[in-house]
Amino acid sequence: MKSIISNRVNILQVLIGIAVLLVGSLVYLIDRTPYQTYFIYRIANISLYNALPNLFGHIGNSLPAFIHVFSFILITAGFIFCNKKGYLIICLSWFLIDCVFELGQKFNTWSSKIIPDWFAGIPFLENTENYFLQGTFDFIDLTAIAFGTVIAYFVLLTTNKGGYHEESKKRVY
Amino acid sequence: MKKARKGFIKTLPYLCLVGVIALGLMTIVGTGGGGGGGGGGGAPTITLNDLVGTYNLTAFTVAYDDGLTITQEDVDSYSGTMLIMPDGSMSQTVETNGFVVSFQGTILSVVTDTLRIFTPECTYDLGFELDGNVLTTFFLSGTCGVNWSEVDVWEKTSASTSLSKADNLAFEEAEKIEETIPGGAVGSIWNFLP
Repeated sequence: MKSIISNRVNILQVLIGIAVLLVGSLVYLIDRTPYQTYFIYRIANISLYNALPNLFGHIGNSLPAFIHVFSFILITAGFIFCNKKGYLIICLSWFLIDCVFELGQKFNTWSSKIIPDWFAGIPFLENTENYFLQGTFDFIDLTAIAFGTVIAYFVLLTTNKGGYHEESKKRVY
Repeated sequence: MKKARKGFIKTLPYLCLVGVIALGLMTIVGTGGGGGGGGGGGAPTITLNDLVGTYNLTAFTVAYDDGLTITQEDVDSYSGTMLIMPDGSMSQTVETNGFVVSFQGTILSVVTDTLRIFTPECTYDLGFELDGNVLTTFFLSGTCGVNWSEVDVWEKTSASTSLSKADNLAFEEAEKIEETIPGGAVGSIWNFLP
């Protein structure tokens, strides 16, 4: 673990991750009805649905799946400043997390059963059951997750200048 | 002091890691996921497009768990309007004996004879039958914690979703003189009567 984590932050990676995440939130703010999205109607309480024209069209269906995995890979990697192996571990971890949640929508009777009762009433956690029961499993979402993971890995490599990998090289030569 | 600072700096990446993972999981659950297009399988016989329009309430039957049954014949006055929009959003306003209940929700899916309806308070299944212009809805006791079953009969007055001028006036009048109470279905009105 120590070889993966160092106490330096790659600000560029974190900023790219946050910026892309903000773009993704526009899908929920503009293209979807507020009642479809828990954090819009329960937390943010704002919606531009019908106030602005549809921004993303059909891409908006699977764009969040792509953006989520992409953004969180970059933010995670940016915070923990790691080498190539570490990047790979981060990418695979977020890929698996997103895939598990997506597959949970397909096998929703099983996944809704394992949700503990104490989730009820706790912000965000209370929506877990709805997420599995109301969410739509889609192979295109899985493809978007895989695509986002691969793109994120390459972005990590290209934004690693001066990072852990580069420093290791400097030390060798 | 220096040692403590060093220790904090050492643990900071781990704290950030935990925070980012928590935020990542929260955003998955909080946004409801990607929500792609419709899946495969047999196409339902009735689609949302078939239901889009403006409806008037023509009859209702409310059967409370304690045995009391109320129909439109048991009230002095009743009226109701329901709008189902092409994007699945719906609104319903019902007045009986001067009490008004209304709710807004979203139709998440239309599968054969069941509508899955989402409201901030509760997501539930509503049985339905569509026969020409007549839409009959079946609301089961226990759904969203209510203690009654309800059958509402709606007649589609228009495939358009904009209220007619007369309906708008009726809505405005109702808002002025009638009392609005919590709840969305006809049955919730009777819980407020002595």
